[in-house]
Amino acid sequence: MLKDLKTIMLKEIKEILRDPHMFIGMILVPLLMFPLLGMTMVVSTEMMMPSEEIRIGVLNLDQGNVSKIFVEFLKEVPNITVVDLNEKGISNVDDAKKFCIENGILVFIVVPKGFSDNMLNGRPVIIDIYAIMEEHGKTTDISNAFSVATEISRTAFDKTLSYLLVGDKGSGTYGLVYVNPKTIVKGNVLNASPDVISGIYFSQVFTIPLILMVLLIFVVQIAAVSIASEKEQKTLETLLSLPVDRKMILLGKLTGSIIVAIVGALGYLVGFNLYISMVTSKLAEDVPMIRPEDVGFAITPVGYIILGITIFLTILVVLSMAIIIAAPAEDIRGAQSISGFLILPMVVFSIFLAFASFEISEELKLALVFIPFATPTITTIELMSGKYWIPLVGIVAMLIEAVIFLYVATWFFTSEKLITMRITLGRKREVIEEE
Amino acid sequence: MEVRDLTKIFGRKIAVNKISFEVEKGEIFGLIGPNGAGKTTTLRILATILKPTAGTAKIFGLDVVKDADMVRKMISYLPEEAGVYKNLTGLEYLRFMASFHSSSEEEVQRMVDEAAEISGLGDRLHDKTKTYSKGMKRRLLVARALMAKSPLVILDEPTSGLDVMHAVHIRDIIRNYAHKYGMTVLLSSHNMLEVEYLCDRIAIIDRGKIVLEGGPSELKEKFGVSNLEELFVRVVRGA
Repeated sequence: MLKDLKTIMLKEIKEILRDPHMFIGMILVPLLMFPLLGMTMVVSTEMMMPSEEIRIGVLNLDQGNVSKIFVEFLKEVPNITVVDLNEKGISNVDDAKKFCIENGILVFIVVPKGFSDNMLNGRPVIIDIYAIMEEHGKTTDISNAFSVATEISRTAFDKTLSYLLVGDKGSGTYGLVYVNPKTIVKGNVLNASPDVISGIYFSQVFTIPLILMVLLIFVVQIAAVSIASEKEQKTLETLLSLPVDRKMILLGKLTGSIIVAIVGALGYLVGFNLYISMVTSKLAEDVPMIRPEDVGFAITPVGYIILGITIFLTILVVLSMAIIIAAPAEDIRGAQSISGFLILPMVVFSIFLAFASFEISEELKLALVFIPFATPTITTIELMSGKYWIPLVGIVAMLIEAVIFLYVATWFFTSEKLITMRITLGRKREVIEEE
Repeated sequence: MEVRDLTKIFGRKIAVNKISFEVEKGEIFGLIGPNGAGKTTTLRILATILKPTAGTAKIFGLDVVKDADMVRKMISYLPEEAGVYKNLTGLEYLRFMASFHSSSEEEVQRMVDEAAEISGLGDRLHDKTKTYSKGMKRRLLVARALMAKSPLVILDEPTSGLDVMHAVHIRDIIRNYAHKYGMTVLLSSHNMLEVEYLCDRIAIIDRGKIVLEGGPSELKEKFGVSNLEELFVRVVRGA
């Protein structure tokens, strides 16, 4: 009995180990997947780490004795560079904003008029802290600088308070300090901290690549299986011998997949639009003063057209790639295994973009827009920021790639490779017919 | 059909080695040989599925490589291991295939009706083909190959998987169609009885080369054997 069990078990192990699909799925994919994911996480985490130097601007509109002491205490905080905007000849918030943008200062503190008077008369003191979020980049740096600015303002206030108490022998009555957070987005001053704004933005940006990943994996599976199912059902030879142009057969197959892709793209756009509506209505509820477009949520009708074209072209590129890569597969199972080679980078790019897309530099965005797995996400982010040139580059790139991959797919269909080529553990071999 | 020095090499393996033969219009020609002899490769080249490494093959004067699109309009090919779309019904499958041969709805319907009769599947044609037995699928496929009445029909093991009764039925149909409609038939088979019954002429192919060619009666007489099986064994062993 045990002998039989051993015989069957050994046969099973042999069959499993000799099956190339098992090798790909169980050994190759985890072997590549985990290091790639690790690298992705390292890169995206590095991108999210705040810069070492923190510079905070301070604009004193009060110019009273107490506010001057307050500013001096701000300047005393170690490891923080406090830029005195008054010393730069600035006397209002608009000029402060311009100066900070030009000089890469992400946050500035405004000491309002009446600061000294309010403090000396026991009235609450309100300090405005402005975060500049002109683009949805440097979110971590902005958030960090805003927290530091809030913290040092409170510390400086406490020190000012102590100074006044000592000078007054403890007989005075002094007020409390309140921090009024403001975020400047696209020139609009919003009454919310950058964390609120970037939190909403981040949650949205995080979901886009993941939804696209699901859509593209679906597309890859459809295309990869379309040829393999003909081989598995042994209908391919008959199909290729019919009095019909082989380009037409490919076109027919692609059209079927494209229709699915169009439905997918429309589904994405409708779903995305619903998502935006839900998020913005919630935003309107929570922070009524902020309009959705101020946060950078709104995509214009032209933007939606660009996004639709991009998703359609991307799907076309991915479809053609899947057809080419899965063409040598002998059956559906083989095609699904081989398509893992496309799905793997897709997953890696999606995770990378989910964590790091809002920190990516312009140059990197321009490079990524050429990679079909990243193009729709980069396009969506750019369109949300009201930028069109990178999305347009993306459309041109996808168009060129679609033509190239379709040409190669057509070559496969018009040559005998579709019948003779097989994949065995990534090695090509021509099949020698039995008869 | 005119085949001259046809050669097909896969990697280092010579599957077909400079074979030459001719088939006259309206003739039923049989290609017989042991497994791995090169029969299927030859038929696949003639059906424009594979391209020859060297040599030429012309069908009604059309080159199978240069005029492949035109050749496909003249032929009907039944591969040995052909399958059907499992989620289509038998009728849907026939209609799908017929629509490639004619744009006329009447003509398509005529082909479907004719194929339905050839297959003898009756009401089962309304069922999805995934419910069919191997024999039923083969009958459907043979019917599909014959329904268009293509000038050249290439049949690789036409009765493979069929029981005796259905095999006899299909052989009769092939013979009747060839004679009635003047169709040229090129077939391969392991069944010597079938070859002897159907073919006007045969060629024995072994290790990629044609080793014998002629009419079944003529060859039997020449080698002093009583049937083609005996002839086949003697030729292949002696080759």
